[in-house]
Amino acid sequence: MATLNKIAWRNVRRNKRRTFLSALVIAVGLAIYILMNSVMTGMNRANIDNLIDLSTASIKISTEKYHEEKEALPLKYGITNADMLISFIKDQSDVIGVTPRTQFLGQLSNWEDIMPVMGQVINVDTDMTVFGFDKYIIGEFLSNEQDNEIVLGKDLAEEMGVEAGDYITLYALTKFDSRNADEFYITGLLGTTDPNINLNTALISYQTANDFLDLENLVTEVDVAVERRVNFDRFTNDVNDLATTLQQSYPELHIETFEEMAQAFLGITEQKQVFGSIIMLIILAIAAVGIFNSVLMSVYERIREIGVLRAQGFERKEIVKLFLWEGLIIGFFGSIMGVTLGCGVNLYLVIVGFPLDKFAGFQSSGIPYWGVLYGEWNIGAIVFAFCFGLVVALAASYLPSRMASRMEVTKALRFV
Amino acid sequence: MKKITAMLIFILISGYLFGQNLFLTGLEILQRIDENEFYRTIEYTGTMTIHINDEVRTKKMTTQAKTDGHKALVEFNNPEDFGTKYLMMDDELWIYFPGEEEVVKISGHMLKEGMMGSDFSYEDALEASKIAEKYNVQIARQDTLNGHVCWVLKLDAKIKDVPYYSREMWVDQELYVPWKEEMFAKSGRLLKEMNVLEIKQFGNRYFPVKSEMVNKLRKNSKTVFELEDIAFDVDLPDDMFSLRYLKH
Repeated sequence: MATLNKIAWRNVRRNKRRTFLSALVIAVGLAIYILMNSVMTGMNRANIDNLIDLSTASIKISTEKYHEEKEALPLKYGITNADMLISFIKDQSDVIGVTPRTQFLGQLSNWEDIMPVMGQVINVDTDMTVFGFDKYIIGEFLSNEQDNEIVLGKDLAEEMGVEAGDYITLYALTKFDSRNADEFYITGLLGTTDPNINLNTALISYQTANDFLDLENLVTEVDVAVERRVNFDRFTNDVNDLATTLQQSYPELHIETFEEMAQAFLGITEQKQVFGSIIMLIILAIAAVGIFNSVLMSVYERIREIGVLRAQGFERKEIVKLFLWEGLIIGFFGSIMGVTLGCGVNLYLVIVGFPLDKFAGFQSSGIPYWGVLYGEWNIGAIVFAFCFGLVVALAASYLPSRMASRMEVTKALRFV
Repeated sequence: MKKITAMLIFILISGYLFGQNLFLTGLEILQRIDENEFYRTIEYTGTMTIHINDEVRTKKMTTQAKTDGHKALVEFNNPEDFGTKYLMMDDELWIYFPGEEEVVKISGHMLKEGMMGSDFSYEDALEASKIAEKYNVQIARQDTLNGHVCWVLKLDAKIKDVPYYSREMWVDQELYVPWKEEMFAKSGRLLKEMNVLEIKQFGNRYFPVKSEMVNKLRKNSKTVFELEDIAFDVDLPDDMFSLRYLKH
C-alpha cells in the first residue's frame, strides 16, 4: 500500500502540467458552484431583508378585528394602550426597534388629476428604528416641527408632476368617515428598492394626522424589529420566540411574524431556490464532466504504463488502487484550489458586494434586484463542494483504470 | 310710540305680503327640504353621464331604494355593464358581476368613492337620510341663482360622522329645493359642487330630477345624473334587498 502511495505521488509530481490542468478543471467548477451558491443565498436574503425593512417589519401587531378587515385599512379598530404595549416590547431581548403606525387610503390631487395612494401615518422619532425608509429618501424626511408635511413615493410624485419642495393636495376620509382634503408640503421622495412603495406610498406624521384624519393618536398596528442574524434560521427562531411571548402576554391581539405575512413571497423564494438548485446541479454536472474527461484522458494516456506495471507483476486491483490514489491526490488539490478560489472571490462579494444598478431593468419585476448584492457564506455548500471534487475525481479515475487494468498486458503495451 | 307701532304693523304686513316664509329659521327650511326630498321608498330609472376631460361614458340603471335600513338595489342596463347589480344595506355594499356570476363585498369607506367612476359617490347617489339630523344650519344670506330667489344656507356638521364637514346650499324660496350645493372638507376646502338642472313636481313634493356633480379635485370632471319614471312610496318587499335576490 505504501509503495502504491509513493508511485502515485511520484506520478502526480512528475506530470506537473497534467496534474495542474486536471486540478484546475476541478477548481474552476467548484469555485463557480461556491460563488453561485453564495450569490443565490445572498439574493434571497437581500429580498427577505428588504421585505422586512420596508414592508412587514419582523413582527406586526394589530387587533383581531383590524386583521380581519385589513384589506380595507379601517380606521376604527385601534390598539388600546399602545404606549404600554410598546414599553413592554422594548423590554424584550433581541428587540432593536418598535414603532406605531396607522395606514389609510387616500387620493392625491394636483387639481388636474387624482391618483390613489396608500397612506402611512408614522411616528417620526421611532419609525426609523424599525423601517429603513430614511436610507432611500431623496430630499428631507418628515420633521416634528411642521404640520402638513408629506413624503411621497418617487414614481408617484413623477406621475403627479411634483418633486420635493412642491405642494400637493391629499384627500382622505377621517376616522369618522368624513371627507377631508388639504395642501401638503413635499419634504422628500422615497426611491426604495420596492417599486410598489415608490408608486403608491405617502407618509405623514401623527402630528399632522391627528388633525387631518381626526385620528386622536389611533394606532392600528405596532411594528417590531428584531436584531438581524447572519444565520437566517437563528433569526426566524428569535422572531418566533418573541411572537410567542407577545401572544402569551397579549392574547387579545393579532401577532404576525414576517414569515406569516410574506408566505406568498417566501413561497416564490422557495421556488426560486429549487430553480437555483437545478442550475447549480447543472453547473456541478458540467464540472463533473470536465473533471471526468480530464482524469479519463490522463488514464488513457497511460495505458501503456499500465501494461508495463502489469508486466512487472502488479495485480489488477493494485493498478486500480494506484489510479484511485492519483485521482484522490488530484481531486484533493483541485478541491483545495477550488475552495480557495471560490472563498477568495466570495470574500470580495461578502464585503464589497456586486452593484446591480447596472441591471436597472430588473426593478420592474416587483422584487428588489437593484442596489448592491452581497454574497453569503454557506459552510455546508463549501464542504459539499470539497467532497464533491474528491468523489468526482475518484469516480473519474476508477472507471477507466478498471477498464485498462482488465486489458491483456500485450494489448496494453501496444496501446497507442 | 305711534311711529313704532306703525313700523311693527308695516313689518308684519310686509312679511305676510312677501310670503309666509319670511320668518322661517334655517332649521325649518332644512325640514321643508327634507319633506321634499326624503322618501320612504323610491323607484326610478336613471342615466349617469360621466365626463372626464374629453371622454364621455354613459351608465343606465334601474333603482329601488328604501330609507328604512338604508337599502338600495341598482341594476345597470347599459351594454358595458349589463346585468351588474349593486346592493347597498346600511354601510355595506355588494356588487354582483354577471360575467363571473360572483358577488363582491365592498367595504364601508368605499361608499364614499365615485360610483362606477363617476363624481357621485355611492352615498351621494343612494343615501336618503335627513340632512337636518346631521347639520347645524344658519341662513347666511339671500341670493338669486338663474332667476330663482334663494336662501343661502350654511350647514356645519353636528356630529363627526357626516359625509361632508360643511355645506352651502342655495335653496329655492318657493320650492324648498336646493338649486346648488357646495360641499367642503374638514379643512374648509371645496370638494364638490352640485347643480340641480331640473326640478319636477310630484303631488305636493318638488324633487330634483336632473343634477350635475362637479369634482373640484380633478380638472374637467363632472357627472350628470338624470332620473326618469320616478315613483315614490311604492311597496318594495324586504326580500328584494337580500344577497339571494342579488344573485337572482
